Amino acid sequence: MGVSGVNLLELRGVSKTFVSGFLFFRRKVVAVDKVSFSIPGEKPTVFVLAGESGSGKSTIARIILRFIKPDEGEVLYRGRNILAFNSKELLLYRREVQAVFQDPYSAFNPVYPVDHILSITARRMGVAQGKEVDEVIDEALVSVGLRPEEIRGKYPYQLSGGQRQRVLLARALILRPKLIVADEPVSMLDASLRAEILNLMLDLKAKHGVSFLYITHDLSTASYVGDYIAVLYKGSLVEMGPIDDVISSPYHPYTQLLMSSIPVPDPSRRWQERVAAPEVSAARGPVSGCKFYDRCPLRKEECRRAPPTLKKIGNRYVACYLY
Amino acid sequence: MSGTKGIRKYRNIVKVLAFLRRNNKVTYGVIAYLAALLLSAFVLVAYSPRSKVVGYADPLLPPSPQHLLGTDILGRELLVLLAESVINSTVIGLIAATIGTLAGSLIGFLSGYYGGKVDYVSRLFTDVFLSVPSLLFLILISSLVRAVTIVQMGLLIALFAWPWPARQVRAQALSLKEREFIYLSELSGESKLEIIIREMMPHMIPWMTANFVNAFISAILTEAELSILGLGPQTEMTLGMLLWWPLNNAAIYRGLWWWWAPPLIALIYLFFTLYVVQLGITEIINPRSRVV
Amino acid sequence: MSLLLKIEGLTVAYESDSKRLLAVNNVDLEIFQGEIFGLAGESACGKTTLANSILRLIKPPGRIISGRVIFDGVDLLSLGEEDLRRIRWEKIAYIPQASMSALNPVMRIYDQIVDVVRAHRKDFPEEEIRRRAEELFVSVGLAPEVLKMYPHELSGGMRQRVIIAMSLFLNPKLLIADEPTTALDVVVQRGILQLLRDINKKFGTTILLITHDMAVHAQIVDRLAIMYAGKIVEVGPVKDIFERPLHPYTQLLIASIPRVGEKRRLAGIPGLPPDLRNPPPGCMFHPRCPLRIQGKCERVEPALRQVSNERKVACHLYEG
Repeated sequence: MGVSGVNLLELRGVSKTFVSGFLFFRRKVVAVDKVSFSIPGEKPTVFVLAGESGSGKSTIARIILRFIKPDEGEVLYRGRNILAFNSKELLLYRREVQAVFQDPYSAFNPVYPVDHILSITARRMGVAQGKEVDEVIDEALVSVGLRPEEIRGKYPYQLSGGQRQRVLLARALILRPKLIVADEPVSMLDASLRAEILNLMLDLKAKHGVSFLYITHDLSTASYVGDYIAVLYKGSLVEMGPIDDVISSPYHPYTQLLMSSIPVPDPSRRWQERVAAPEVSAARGPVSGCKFYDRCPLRKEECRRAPPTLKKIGNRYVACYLY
Repeated sequence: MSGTKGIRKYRNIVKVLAFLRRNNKVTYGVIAYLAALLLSAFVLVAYSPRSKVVGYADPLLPPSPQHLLGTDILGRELLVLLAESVINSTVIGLIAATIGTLAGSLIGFLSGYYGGKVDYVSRLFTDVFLSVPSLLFLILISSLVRAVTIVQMGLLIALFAWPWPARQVRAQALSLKEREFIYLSELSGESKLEIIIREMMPHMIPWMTANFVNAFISAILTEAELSILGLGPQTEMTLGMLLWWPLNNAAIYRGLWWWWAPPLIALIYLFFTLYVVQLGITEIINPRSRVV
Repeated sequence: MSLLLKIEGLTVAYESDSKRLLAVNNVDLEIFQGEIFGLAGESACGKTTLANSILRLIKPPGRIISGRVIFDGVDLLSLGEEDLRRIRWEKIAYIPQASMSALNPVMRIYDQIVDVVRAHRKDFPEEEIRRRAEELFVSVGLAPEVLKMYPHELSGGMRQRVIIAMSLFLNPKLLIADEPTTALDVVVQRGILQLLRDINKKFGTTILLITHDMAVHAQIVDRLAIMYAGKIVEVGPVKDIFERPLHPYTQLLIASIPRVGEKRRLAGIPGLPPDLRNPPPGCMFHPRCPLRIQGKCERVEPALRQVSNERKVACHLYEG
């Protein structure tokens, strides 16, 4: 994981806590808990950030995109701390690190046709002015497999979910980014459309050298596009490594639980045992020890005392007392 | 691609026309109101200003071909007075509604967008102004001020017209702020100001329009209420003043129906047309009927 | 196995301005007692409309135009309101999409259960309600203490279990669940799906499971129907369908599912679902079908025909 050269993106000990309520009803939620990982820079990579809701993955995305500031830790883009950027550097950063979100409908302002955000991106980010803008937009639309005549001037509601998501990818591509943060980009699309967007991502990686931070809870799509994977549980990193290895033989009990819970689209391979993990109530206070203790079938006494640290085992990292 | 731009402008006009045609209530209501205004203007132009002077004709004449609505106690042509008051009441309504909606929307927007202390303070003010009985306070204030002009009346009523738009626009701003396309606009390089004006405003305009109509209706009625109590602009004619005169002179008891009935009917008519417009706008804002 | 629900020629249309589109287009379906039946299809294929129309929950601008829904020998579409209301929740329970968000946020769970019970059976004794609620909660894997809680104190999975428990209160014969696990995490999803299977085994409740997620169908259902553009295109035992999908749409659909560990290039389905206001002539799927028969598929609509003991397909490829 980033052995030589400068990493494309690196998180070091990033933490973020959200406080809600006031006076006696203060609630502290630790969304991200000292997370560190790095996306290598030598070649285009799809780095998967996997976890369920509440794992902190979306918060990490927003931190990387500089929508919120972490309480602790650093985020380095090509070795430079993004939190220290001035507005000019931030603009350059935003040209290289872009995003695609989960809901392809709400990403558009319904009052304007979809060209609106495309032309704003081209003009405001300094890619083109005046007449060139249209060329740049058309080029981007073509590179995501859309025909400009079918898309220009249309309102978001006139396009299908797949088309909208493609337009959003086109928007990101206008800037020729190095990294696209894709937060659940296909979870709201139908199965048959997912394939085209996922294939598009792979093509963009191969032809345009774009790396992806692919954030998802769906390990099937993750294994299709991913190179590396980092698994998050309640804000902490529990396992990290090359995706094929982690998926075929998960080390951490939570990863094992995740893998076994994926419904396999094959009726001859049905779940046999019950899921032993009991339901967790929504309200949880601060916890000492490993966060997965309650649900872990392999827990020991020492797991309760202090949270395990990330250890390197072979070609991956695991945070578990079993190792 | 100037060709597309031209087609787009044409498309926009067609869209607006279709929109107006579909939303009958708004169109008809506005037309009905404007008709009343036009009629009043016509009357004012057709009649000489002497017909408003005291002693122009015999007092308290019932309607006749020479005096279509009769005369009041000072011998003035009631038709002309009615026309004038329709226009004056409209002016008061416009001033109150415009200032109230603009000021309220600005306050509400800043409050919702920035949050924090700004929000806290302005919410305090808004809630106070919303919860006090506005009419009583208006009565109090205007009884302390000896004489009011039309403009001053408009401003006075605006004082209590701003809280409601403030609250609504604040709610809109709060929810808009978090919408995903706003994040995306920021990611695409739009400055905060551009985002407010270009991305958020189109969503707030329908609400501001609805608030404007609301404030307008409320202002006209409030003016009538204040003037009937004798707190109106004594020197100029408004619908309320036109009701104050007959009420103060026992017109109902004396059976002088042409003195009090026409302004009342005019008031009800204006109110009704605006109410229809308001219904139409509410339908537009209701998400179910919205295509966009 | 005896027939529990038989849908014949059901057609539901949405009418606006002068346009009419058929969300459910002449659908025939049979569901047998005791089975878990899956209804698959992508968005806007009509499966939710179909579920809604079983209990006559279609509101304007939607309208049931024709067909029969025969439940336990009675045509639900011709029942009076009073009789229909007695069937709803007592014989057929319906869990619509996103229903776990429909719990009243200001009432305790137990009070909401009492509310619903009282709305259907005014004279249900209080102790009975409590006893049954506790009994049901245990069978869906919830501690009885949850009854005293408010919805926001529960996780998504727990809320869904509450909804399932509520729907089983009067021991319905048929449970219709529309996308019951879509908003849930994969681990929680597994729990809910296994719960549904347990309910089916323990209480014999027939389940109609509606979801676009083919993997869920593969894991849970006994028989499966695939819907496309308002029509049923294929029906059969789930194992058969996955091993040997007949209809080209089914084949492409199954091929587009990513399987963990498989790296072969996924195929999507080219093109877009048809605009139901201007449906294509002939077969609904022909514009996108890689196996279409020139001259036939774009002119004649294929009917849903039995091609083997348990399989039905609506495709010209399998006609004589």
